[in-house]
Amino acid sequence: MFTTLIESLITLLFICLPQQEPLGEYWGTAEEEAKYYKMVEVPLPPELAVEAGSFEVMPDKKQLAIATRRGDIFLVDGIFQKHPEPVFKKYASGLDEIFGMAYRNDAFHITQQTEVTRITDTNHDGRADQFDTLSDRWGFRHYHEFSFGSKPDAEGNIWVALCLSESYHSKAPFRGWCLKITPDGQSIPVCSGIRSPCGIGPNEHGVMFYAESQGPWNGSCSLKVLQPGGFMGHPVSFNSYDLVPEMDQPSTVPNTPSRLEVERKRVKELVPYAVVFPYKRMGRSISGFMVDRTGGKFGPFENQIFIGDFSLGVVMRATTEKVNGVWQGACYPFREGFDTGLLAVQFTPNGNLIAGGTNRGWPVRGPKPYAIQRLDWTGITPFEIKTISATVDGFKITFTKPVDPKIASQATNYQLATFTHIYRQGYGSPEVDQTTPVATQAVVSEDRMTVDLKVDNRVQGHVHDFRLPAIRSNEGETLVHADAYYTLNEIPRE
Amino acid sequence: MRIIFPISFLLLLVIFSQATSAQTLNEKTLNEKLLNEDPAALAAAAREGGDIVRGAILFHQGNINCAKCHRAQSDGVRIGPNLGKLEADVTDIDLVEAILEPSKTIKKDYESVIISTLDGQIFTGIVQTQNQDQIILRDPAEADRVMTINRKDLDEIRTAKKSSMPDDLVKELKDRQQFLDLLRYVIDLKERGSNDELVATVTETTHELSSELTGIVLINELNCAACHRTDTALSLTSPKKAPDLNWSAQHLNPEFLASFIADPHAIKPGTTMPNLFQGKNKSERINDAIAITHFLTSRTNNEFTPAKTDAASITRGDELFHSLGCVACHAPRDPTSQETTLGQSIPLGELGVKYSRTGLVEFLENPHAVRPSGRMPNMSLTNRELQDVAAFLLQKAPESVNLWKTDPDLAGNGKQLFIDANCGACHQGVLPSTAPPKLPSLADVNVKKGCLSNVTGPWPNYDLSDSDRLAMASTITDPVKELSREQQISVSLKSFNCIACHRRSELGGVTQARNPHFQTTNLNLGDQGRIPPTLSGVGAKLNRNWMRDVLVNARSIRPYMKTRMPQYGESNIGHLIDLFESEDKLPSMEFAKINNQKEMRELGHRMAGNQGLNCVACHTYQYKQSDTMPAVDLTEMTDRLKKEWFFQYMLAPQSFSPNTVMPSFWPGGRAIRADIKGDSKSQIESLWQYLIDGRQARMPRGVVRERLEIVVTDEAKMLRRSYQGIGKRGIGVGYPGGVNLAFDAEQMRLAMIWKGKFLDPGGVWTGQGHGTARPMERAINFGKGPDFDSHSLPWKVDDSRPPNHQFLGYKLDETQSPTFLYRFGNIKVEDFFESFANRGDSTILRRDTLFTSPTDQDNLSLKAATGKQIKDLGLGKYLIDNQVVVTILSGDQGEIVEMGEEKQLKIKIELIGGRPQNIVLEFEWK
Repeated sequence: MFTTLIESLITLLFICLPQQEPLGEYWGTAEEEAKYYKMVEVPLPPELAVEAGSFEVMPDKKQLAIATRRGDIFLVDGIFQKHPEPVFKKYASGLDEIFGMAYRNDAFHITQQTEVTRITDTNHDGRADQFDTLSDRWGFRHYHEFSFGSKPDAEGNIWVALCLSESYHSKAPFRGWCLKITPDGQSIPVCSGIRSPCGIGPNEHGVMFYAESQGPWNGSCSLKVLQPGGFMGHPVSFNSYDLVPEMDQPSTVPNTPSRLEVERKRVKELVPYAVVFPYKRMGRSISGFMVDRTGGKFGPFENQIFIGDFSLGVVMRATTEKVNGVWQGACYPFREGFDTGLLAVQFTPNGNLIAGGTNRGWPVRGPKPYAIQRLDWTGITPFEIKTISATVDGFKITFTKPVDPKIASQATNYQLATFTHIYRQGYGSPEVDQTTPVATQAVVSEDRMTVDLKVDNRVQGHVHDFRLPAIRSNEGETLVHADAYYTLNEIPRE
Repeated sequence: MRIIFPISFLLLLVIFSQATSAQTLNEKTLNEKLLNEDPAALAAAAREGGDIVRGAILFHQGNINCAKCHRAQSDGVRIGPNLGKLEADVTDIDLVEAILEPSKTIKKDYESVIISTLDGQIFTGIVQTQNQDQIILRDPAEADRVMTINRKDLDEIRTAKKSSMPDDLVKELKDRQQFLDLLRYVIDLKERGSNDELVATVTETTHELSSELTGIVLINELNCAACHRTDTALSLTSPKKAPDLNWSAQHLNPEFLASFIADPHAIKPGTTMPNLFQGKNKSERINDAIAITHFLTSRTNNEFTPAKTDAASITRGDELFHSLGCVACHAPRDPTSQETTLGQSIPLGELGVKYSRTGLVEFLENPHAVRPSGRMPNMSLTNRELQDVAAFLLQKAPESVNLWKTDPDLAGNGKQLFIDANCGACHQGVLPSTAPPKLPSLADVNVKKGCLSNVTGPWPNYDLSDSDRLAMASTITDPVKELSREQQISVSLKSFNCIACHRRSELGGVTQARNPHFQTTNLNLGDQGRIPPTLSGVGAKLNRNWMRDVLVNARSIRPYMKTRMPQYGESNIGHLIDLFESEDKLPSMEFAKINNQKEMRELGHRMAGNQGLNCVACHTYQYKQSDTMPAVDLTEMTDRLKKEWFFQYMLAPQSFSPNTVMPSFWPGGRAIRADIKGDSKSQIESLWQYLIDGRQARMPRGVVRERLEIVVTDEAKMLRRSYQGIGKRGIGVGYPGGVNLAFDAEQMRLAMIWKGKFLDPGGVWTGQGHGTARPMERAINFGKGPDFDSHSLPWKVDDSRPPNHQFLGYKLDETQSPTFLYRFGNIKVEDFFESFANRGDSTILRRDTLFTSPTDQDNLSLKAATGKQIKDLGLGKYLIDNQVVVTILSGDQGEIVEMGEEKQLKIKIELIGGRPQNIVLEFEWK
């Protein structure tokens, strides 16, 4: 009876969803990508369902801890070696969808749906025996109320992003909020307006960000900064301001339908979305991310954000910068063809990138119910757009290899287009308000790594779509990925 | 945590064991039972209650597979009668008898004959043709096998009394209903009439191209253009480049290299490497080859060491080598691991003297790094598989080899020889590229002299057969102006040997000799489960992106097929995508009109389910396999297939793939489920509209859900999840001894208890996890609100969180049993449970709750249990709802309190500051 009820509920939910669209095409670059980043299989024991939700490298730099959706924490040896031969030991079990894990001061600090928990092995037998609730301050009573926790920040705080109830409502305390959990268990509300997070952590400058999914008030997926006192865009969570006397509820709610660029002037707490990931072209459920601090062991993208995607099983790159006090930046395709939906990524001590997840519950392109794979840099530098940053009169584009200056100095070789999304209560948004800015001058730096591009008719608040198929490296190579997307919230004043 | 996964093969086992257990002596078999029934009644029952869709599936399914023999055959092929062409006077009753007792009446021309020959051989089969010299039989069990018996060898011929149709077919059926389903479908076949035009006929096939194309392939494969310039490419297939000798010099055994260079055809018969020194005598040749090898090794550090292998790895490698597809091109090996001499095999030679294990692993991991032209494909082997295949191939490696020391003088000579012999024309990257040798262009070569002649001289010897020579000569002297698209395709399919596995019209396909090495993980799919799909019309079948994905990224949707789709590299075979797409066309057709898309999708969803056409009986839905076979995933159909192809295939699957076990649900264009809305086209359109949601298509009814159970053995097991009646912060615990509970960590209460098996986590571990974890047995539920609270002013209970209670976590003891920790105001509570299963026959859960308060406090109470009825049995015992007896062991006083409809058993508590105090309760099932 109850099952039938649940089934009909789910059916109802599906019917409520808008008309389905195709999952999204492949970039078609997997074969080329493989020359630079080899995808290494991590064989999993057939008797275990390793639905990875979070990873942590243990202090000995030999073990990887894997936390799963089924609530296990495994300690795994042999996963960092060239050909992984992992040996799994179960450290803890029975937990609830772990999407956040760090090991500090001889204890795991995990975020599960119900709470942030400190887990200790007090008798040192290799299995956890003490589970201390650090915070369960938030309400948890409905479907789809997922919780994503960061690794501790410099002060040891864990930041927790809390999904809305049923991903649409805020039916319990702090649904749609970020809470900061201090090492002694205090829960400090940070900001409201979250919809459906799927990853949380610092950007390359150490500022806490989270990954938001497309949906109501979110035209596409985006990386957003968790600005204290800020509003992340979805106003249904305003009801929890009553629980936060020290914080004022925004005096206005955003209009719908509108534009983010318009509403951020009306609702001063509204924080513009820092890096927008155009839907389907750049994933459709961006997830766990991590900054490359490998010191170059992972190739030319040191200090950049690497972020997975659940639906399409791809890893992308992102860079951020603060312009006129506002965070913004760009995203770039990186590697496709993962076997399952990605939920978490983790750099290893050897400078490789572990990625894993499951295809459970939502449509996923990859064929496996769960998988863990590793990307190893082959040592060959791909010819890629390394970073795009905004300048007073255009953009600065840095490449991973010297460019052919003849081609790169022709402004016509830079195809630009812009668009934005409708900011509205309805689900997602088409790309709207398209414009075509014009590159007027391209100046190649002396080392040929950077091009200063002067651009007319940039549009503040729009995603700027770069297409550079004509650019060649000094050796005549084409770009592995000719596209990148810069979200121009602010135009630098100087 | 030991979790039981009753996966699909277990279910199959159950089905099989049901089928076989029916054969025990005491019990009648299904066949016997059915024979006892009136055939007329069976026929009537089938017409009344037989499920035609399930019957159609059974008719085609692997273990029954009536369709294998009862199908339209090409002329002169007789195996089983075409059920669509039975005589008009065949009745339903005749059909019942023919299935249950096949040998009772055998249709004329379908009798088996038994022939014994003078040399004592016995052949059984159905006569296909006979004349005064020969009798040709066909074995119904192996329809493609034809036996020819010369009359002069014949000793005796007699007609078999038994039909070639197995008389125990019914034993493959599960029950009477399945028999009725099958019978219903057979009746429909008979009444519907024949539609043989829809069934593909099996025709002869060849692996050889026409002479002109053979010449092109050979010129390409031998890379003649490396020396003989040619301005126009012969075909879109690029010539085969020679291996990267820098890699070879680093990884291969130098002694092997020397011997191979000295006499390639002796070391590796069939190699495309020519003998370059045929004009010299044997010792000169050997010396030159050694010098060249010294030159090659002088440029690198040779890393060769003979492989070390172990028996386990060799055994696994043997299995992989003979099932992955290696032997589609290379010769299978005999039990002593000797390469057999099967024709049309790419030779390997003795690899143990050539490769080190790491060398072969590195090569197999990415063959295109060494051999860039993709003839040796990448088989997507995991590291374990690489190690095992290498072990198998290198098991005859020598114990040790002489240490190779590069001699600089010899290397100098070798370099000159390398230049003189023009090795660099094919093996690029060794010396800086030089101008090609001054030789006639390809169009101008004299085909009667030099390489193409039979004569020995100072030119390379390719060890060509006469027919190869002729083919190449005619291609050179009389070149084909422009290849047609189909010819281009043929050249590519031959060059990359796609035709070893795939068939395209009359070209290629799996040969008899290699057939046994094409294996499946699921016999229910028949040949379709193991023989790679046909390429006839593939361009009209697959969407462009999907085709690219298959060809470039080896995408596979057939998990049951052990043979793997190899990767050849986009630059090598990318041109096939365009060729297939532009060459293959299906006749255009009109689709049904879509009046109400939403309604059609809804109908399609129902049709896919087990109340409709039951697609999910065989097909995978979103990676969830059916319990019969993992037929291709429904949620990938529209991504993969072109709509025209889907429609025409649906109408007549056998016309596209004679091996398929897919029944047509619209044979002859008429729906067998006439009760479903719409005509054939409209029904198929509905399915398409449903499938177009791809991965997001709703789950049809009848998809098998993974059944899960958390089994408790010698330690307690826990699961923090949503439980019915608790909400999301539940914690289930199963104890050894068979008692279980769920604790509510939001309201700090014992929420439910049950005995027996622990937990089904299916509701929270499948899908999005939106369901609840479910006790495996019926549970006793207790009322809401915190167990430990103010006595006189308890919290007014609702679904939310009590304001003064805070969960603090839990600790585990050595049996993994938790002690729950929480706070009420400033009072700390430790709540511990354990199982006392072995006291007599009763099942007992004991609860020991410890309170520590910093200050003196009274007006507190612990709620021990709630129920509709609580009966005081005296001596601290209370019967709750006639199900469980609660005993207060610690001697405290119980009190029965009414709270609305609920009765509560409460124990009043007074705490002295700093002094821990506990209450012990027992729950004993009645």
